[in-house]
Amino acid sequence: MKKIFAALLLGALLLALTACDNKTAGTDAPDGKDQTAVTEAPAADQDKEEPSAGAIPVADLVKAAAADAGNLAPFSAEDLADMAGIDAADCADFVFLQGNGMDGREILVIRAANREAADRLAAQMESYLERRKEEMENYAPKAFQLYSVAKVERKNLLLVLISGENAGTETETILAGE
Amino acid sequence: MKKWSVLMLVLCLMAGWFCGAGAAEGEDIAGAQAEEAVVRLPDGVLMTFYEGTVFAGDSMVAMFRNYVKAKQKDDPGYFSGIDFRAANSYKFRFAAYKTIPSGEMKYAHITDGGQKVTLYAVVKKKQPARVFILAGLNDALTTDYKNENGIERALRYVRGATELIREASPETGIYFVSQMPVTKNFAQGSHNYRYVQDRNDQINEAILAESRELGITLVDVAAALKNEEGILPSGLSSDGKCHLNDEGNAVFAQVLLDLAQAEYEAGTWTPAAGNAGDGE
Repeated sequence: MKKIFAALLLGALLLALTACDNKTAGTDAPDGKDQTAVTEAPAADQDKEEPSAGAIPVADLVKAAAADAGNLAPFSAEDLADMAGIDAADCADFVFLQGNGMDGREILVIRAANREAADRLAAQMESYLERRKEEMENYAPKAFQLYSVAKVERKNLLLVLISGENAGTETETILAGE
Repeated sequence: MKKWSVLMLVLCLMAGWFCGAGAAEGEDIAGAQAEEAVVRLPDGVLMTFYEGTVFAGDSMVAMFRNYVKAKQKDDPGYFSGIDFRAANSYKFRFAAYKTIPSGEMKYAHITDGGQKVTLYAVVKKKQPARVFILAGLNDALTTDYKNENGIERALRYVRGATELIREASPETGIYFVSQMPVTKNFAQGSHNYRYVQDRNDQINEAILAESRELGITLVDVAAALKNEEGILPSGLSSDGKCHLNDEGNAVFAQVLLDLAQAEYEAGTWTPAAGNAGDGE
């Protein structure tokens, strides 16, 4: 009887240890982040009001999508305000890059601070794109062509405006990373 | 007696040597003072001349702005005091408007807060220490219009812009950047590069002639960019026509540094105490 009880107790102990181990594996993601949170993120994103703490930095998304990102000229929050009328308070994170100013190369990616800000930013980025097209029309034909096919794309709180030869692929890559 | 003579001779020689050494030392000090009078300030100090500067202009300014922004990746202080306001096709005429007239090429005006505005509005709002205007080639290409030639018209706009800037911000220093040179490949309508270059040169000369009376400065970037033929060498151009590449923009930046140095030497600008350097 004693032997059977001891065997049952050992079995229970082993089961408990195994359960503990499984739970640990669930939280220890390779990058140290909570894997449960990462996998739940897309579903939560559908209605989320603010960016999650573990969101990938916009600079990393851009770097992964655009090979020339490191060679482009970076613009500040003040530039964003002056050139596009965008308030930095609406942006949780952003990247604003241009080529030499006349080549039609431009990357503007913003993670909005909240849903209301995202709606506002989408409209401001559309207006900005229209102005860029007007500025290039009858002046820099190649740049005008690139801006003409550029679009403002949005996924949840992430807004993307890219002008360039590979704008479509780059936009898709950035949105897929969100 | 011989011993006394030898001793006197040695003393005289020593005195002469000391005098000579003293004079040489004096000359060294004088030389050092003369050198100090024309000491070249370090670039980082010269760039502080541009703190609180609004730089308005056309695509040339947009490209110089992007050159500066790219340089700021390695050197955050690189001309960081300049607030660039660029719009392709920006003209002297636009700088002379208080408000944008209806029907005027609105897209070619500078931007503030995402809206197209006049330079007057930006200067009034920001009260900058200095304003630079580079209207590019656009004014040179317009010929006679309503019995007024392009040079007279450009000058009229320079005077108008100067008046408006003074009205908006009386303490702001006003600088017009020279009309930029073109390469041999440049052509506009029926005008070849020589016509455009000559017209540019005439406009620059006319602005320079009036600059003292108007109390403005002509910043002659064109002179630094031109080759022996008096035109832009294609090696400094990104499109082989008129826009500058990185090498051309580096020349542009050097002219701005030289201007700051000239203002320092003329006593019209002194670096702030915290920014004063020891020279290079």
